[in-house]
Amino acid sequence: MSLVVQNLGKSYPTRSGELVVLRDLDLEMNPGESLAILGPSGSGKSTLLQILGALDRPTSGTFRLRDQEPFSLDDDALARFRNRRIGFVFQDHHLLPQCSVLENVLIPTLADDNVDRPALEARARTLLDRVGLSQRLDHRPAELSGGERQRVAIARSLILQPALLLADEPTGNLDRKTAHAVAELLLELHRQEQTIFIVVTHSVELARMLPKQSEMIDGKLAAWSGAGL
Amino acid sequence: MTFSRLLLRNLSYHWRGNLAVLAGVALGTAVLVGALLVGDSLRGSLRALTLEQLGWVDVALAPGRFFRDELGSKLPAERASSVLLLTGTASTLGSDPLTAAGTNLLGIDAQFGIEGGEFWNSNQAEVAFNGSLAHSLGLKAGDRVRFFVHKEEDIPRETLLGRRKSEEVVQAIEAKIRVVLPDEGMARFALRPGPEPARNAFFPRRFLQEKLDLAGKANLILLGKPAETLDAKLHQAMTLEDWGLSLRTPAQRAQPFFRHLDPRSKGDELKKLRWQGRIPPKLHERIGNDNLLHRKDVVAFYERERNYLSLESQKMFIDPPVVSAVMQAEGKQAARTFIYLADRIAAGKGEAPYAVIAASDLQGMPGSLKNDDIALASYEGTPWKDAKPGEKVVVDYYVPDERNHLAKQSAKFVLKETYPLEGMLDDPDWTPEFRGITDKLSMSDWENPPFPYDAKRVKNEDEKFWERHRTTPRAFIALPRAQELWGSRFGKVTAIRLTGDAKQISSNLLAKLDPAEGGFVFQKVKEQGLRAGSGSTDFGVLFLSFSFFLIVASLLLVGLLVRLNLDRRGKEIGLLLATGWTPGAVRRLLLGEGILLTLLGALIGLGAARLYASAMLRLLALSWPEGAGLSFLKLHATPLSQVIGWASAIVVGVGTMWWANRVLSKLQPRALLMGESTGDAEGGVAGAGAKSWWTMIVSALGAIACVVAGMFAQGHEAKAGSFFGSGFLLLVAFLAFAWRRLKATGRQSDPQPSLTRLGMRNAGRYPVRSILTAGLLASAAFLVVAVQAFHREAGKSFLAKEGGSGGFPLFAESNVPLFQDLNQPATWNDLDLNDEQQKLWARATFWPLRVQPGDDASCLNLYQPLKPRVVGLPKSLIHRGGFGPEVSPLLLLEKEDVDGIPCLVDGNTAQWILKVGVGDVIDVPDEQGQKAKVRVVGLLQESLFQSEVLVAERHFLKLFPRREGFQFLLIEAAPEDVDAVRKSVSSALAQQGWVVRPTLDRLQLYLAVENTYLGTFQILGALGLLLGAVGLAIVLVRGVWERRAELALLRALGFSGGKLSWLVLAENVFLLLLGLGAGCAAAILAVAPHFMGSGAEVLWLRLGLLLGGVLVVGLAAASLAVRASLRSPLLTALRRE
Repeated sequence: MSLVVQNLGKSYPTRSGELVVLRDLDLEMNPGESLAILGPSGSGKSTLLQILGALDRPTSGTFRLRDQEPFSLDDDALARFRNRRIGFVFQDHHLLPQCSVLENVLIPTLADDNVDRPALEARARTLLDRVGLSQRLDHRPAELSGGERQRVAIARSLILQPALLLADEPTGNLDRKTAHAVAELLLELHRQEQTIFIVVTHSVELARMLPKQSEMIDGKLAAWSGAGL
Repeated sequence: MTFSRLLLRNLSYHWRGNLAVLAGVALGTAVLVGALLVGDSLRGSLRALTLEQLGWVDVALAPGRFFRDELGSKLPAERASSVLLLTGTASTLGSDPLTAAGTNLLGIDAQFGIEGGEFWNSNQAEVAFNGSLAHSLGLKAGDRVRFFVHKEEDIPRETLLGRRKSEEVVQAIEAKIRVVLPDEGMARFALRPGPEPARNAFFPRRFLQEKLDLAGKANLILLGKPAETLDAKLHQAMTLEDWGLSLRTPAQRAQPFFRHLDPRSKGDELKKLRWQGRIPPKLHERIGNDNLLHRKDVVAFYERERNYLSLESQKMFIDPPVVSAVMQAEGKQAARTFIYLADRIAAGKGEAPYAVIAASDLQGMPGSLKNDDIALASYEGTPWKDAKPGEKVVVDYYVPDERNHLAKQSAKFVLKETYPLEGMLDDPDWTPEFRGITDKLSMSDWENPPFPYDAKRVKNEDEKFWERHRTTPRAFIALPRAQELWGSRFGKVTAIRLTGDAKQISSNLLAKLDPAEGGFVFQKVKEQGLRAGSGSTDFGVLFLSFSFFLIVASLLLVGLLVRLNLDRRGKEIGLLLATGWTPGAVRRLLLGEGILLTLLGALIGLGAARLYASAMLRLLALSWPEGAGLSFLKLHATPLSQVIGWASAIVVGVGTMWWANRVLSKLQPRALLMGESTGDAEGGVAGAGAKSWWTMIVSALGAIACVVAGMFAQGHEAKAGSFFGSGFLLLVAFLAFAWRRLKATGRQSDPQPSLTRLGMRNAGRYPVRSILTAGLLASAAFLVVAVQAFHREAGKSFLAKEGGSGGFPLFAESNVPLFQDLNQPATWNDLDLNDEQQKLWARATFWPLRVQPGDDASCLNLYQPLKPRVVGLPKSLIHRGGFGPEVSPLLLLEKEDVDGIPCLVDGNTAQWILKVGVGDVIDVPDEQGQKAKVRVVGLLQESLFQSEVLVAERHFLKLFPRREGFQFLLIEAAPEDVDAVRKSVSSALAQQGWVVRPTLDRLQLYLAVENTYLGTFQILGALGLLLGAVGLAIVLVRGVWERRAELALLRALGFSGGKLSWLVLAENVFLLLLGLGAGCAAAILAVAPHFMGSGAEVLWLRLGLLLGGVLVVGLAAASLAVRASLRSPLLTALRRE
């Protein structure tokens, strides 16, 4: 298995006591597999995604990706882990407005000095070609539509060939048609890149485009009932 | 894409924020480098002024006496010029003349370097004015002008025979203005360079020499590029004439004797009528049948009967160093003589008025006189024929007291023997020549004797004695006793008798005489001027010290701007972190941006520093009291200062960037991506409470230590260090406390919230931002309050006897010394005062003080005083009291157990200019140029004597024995008489150049200088407040922008615009009050030792008004920012949310 999550728990201290968000959550996935996680707001979907993205630490349990336990790493190693193993697509594209499309895709590569820059640039161009933006390489985010910006973000998430591709409401800010196109693109690239792909969404339509869906209930993943949210 | 390209891209994309940071760095650099450039400029300007005013002159010889003008040409230098330099008063002609006191009259030759060619070698009665002098009198070429100068006199005026009446002291010279020279080159010449342009009148030296009866004399030699052998060459070139000495041979003495018998005769023989009864028997024997007295016979008589050499001084008294040198050179061959004019010698039943008494250690004198022994001459008509050895002889005589009153005194002697007046004793040359007395045929012809003289007392016998013996002594006493009774600081020997070859003796003597002991000491005036040009106060450091808080304020602003930029770029940073950038890499990126901004900003600041320094110099010059005193200030920027300033600005700027970016290590990418800012992260940091607690405690303790140290510190640096150190630490302590309160406020939960409390709590939401703003305001407030606290005005007690004026409402100064007592009716008559004026003067009291000219030691003089002006206080003034509460500090001048000469200086002068404290030694060069040890025994507070060093008169006269007269007057007068006295004294003494001014004016002039500095520093404070206001406005606008949705919601919920404004304003008012409060409290505590030490008065009302004004301006600025911010469409923001 490439992704193994066991007994994962996350809670926050509050004035009125401890707030448990994730409770003994288990998950196992292999490369090429994908999962849509649905659930109501505040159910802990995004928290799970942030822990899987090594952006947040669990209160309990373990998480291993390609046999590596990220939370045992020091801060620099953890950053490197995130850089090389994980790709993120956010609901807000979080593109750097001062950078061009191509540059935005290459931003993660700057975190590591020991990379083959020409090769990565070529890969960035390829990825942008694959997301249909080969003609917009020098454009700034402000000159792109919402769908185009999200496609740039998708290309950026894949630039370093991550093992795990995480998407947090990737179509949440898009209209239906664009959302569908972006979802298809994500899935296609996921298949091409053979990543483990987890998407957190409220969108039933997007969830259904993935072969597997789970619902976050009481801090645990449960089989999705297929009902809308 | 590379790291550096991203960095550059970021810089250009976030240009607005970066521009603000750039401006902040540039401002900080400008202030820092500018402060150093102000110091550079002052030093550079003084240096330039020195070089300009001295022109080609490197070295000067001004021994304070007259010497042969040809001496200059014998000295080894590329250029030399002998000058006759006098200081006097220039005056226009007419009934209501304009006068210019302190005018330099320079008798020069062509060598001096003023265009005019042969004119300068002539004796034409014409004068060249420099522009400053012409301007002050409103004169032009062709106009006539009159000068009043001190009349040079051989005999010291403060001796029995000295002439002291005003008409005998002042001489008028009239001339036509030939040309008015522009104030440049040698026309600006000043031996002691100063900011005030010298008022120079240039005469042909010969003209001035003739007018002043100083033919062939000069008193100043100017040398350009002298050789190293200068001292040796001077020693070789000097003659006895340069020392004011003459070694009179018998033949030389015979001539005046012959001339005396018939002053109108120019022939070589005199008829019997002229010599009969007036020559010694042995000379009489040489007269042939023709009954003519031949000049050659007189010479032959002298060479046979009076065959000795007489070393005499033009000043009657031979300087003690000269006496020592002669005694060393000639030993037993030399015999010292001292004569004095007795008012009366009474012995037995007879007495003689105006008789000369002599004392000498010459071998073969009558009796072996010791102690109170006296030997009386016996001659035809002797008044004391019946006096017997062992009987009492009374000698009445006059000696001048400290105010030059001739006080009659008596000495009792015991008659040892009477001796016949013949041979070597029958010799009028025992007494040196004294024009108007010794050259007169009869006593009734004496011209205006300077001593009390009653012609009625002169009997027929006395006239007969004079006719025959003239100045021959009528009595001898022991030399030590004579010197004890009548010796003075001018000398105790009037002649030295020598035998031998005159040339050889002269040569031996000159070899022994050390020129330095006669005041012939070369002054390296250019070197000294340049050294003094380094300034008494390091303005660079002073400006830097006062700019410190402004620099801190600009750095805080930079820090604030960087943090706001970070807040704005939170999501961007979050993304970088989320995509695997380490916090270190992100920090490097942001720090890289910061470093580039700092480098560029510092470079811009370097240019701005020149403008800033120029503005500060202009401000100083414009606000300097008494006109254009500092108009010479020009910008001088040394590369060293610029490099140091620029590098320091970069180091400090980069440090600020590092500090501002250090929050990155605490950031959670998740939180950033969710829209939280760096400010949120800072607000949530746990454990900072303990750190701030320790910061507060340690800073407070450090500040207390500094305050306590400041109360006991003596040195100016230590006091300044204590002030700035305690101020800074107190600010840190207050801000640490404020930080804790802000954080606590930010975490508060209020069940019954109010708008005000909500607003204040908002300040705690972003505590870093808030504390930086408060810090900005606090730094500026500190500077404004501290500077204002130092602002001073003359205290109410100044005019009281215990105050700084000593109870003297008026004082007067002049370059021409006064020798008369202005309290005496005789002087009033001499000055032609009318009855009304005499009554007025009778109600006033005049206290004359002695002055050794030197450098002004007060803050008015930007040069470092290398040779401070010294004032001698008479004993009567010292015991009069005043200048301090209870026991007068003046009494300290009479302390005996002091290692050195006790002196008093003003506290401000001691602290800021001379940089000494009680117990320290000030090097004061004495008359020979030797450094005398003058020890500070006390300090005067807020006194009128800030320009000088005060010593007791007796010590003054030891230091400067040849200095004569009084050049400073303290005038006591009833308040209702003050104006009238001022007017009357100014008018009566105008010719002598006396300028009478209120003492309060002098103090206010000093205070005005201090307040000029403080005003300039207050501008720095105002700039700081401006920065604070900018910071506050930025925080306010940013806060509103960030909370636009929140505010929109509140409006949607029915909050009025006014309430929303107050919500926002409350936060800013809170920060404003916090900053101002912290700054004021820190300033008041830091300046406390200053006030406890000096008793100065705090101008509370002024301070209160100033702070009130700052608060109002701050509130107004905040209100405007709120109004502008709330005009944005908030509901749009709400919909967007």
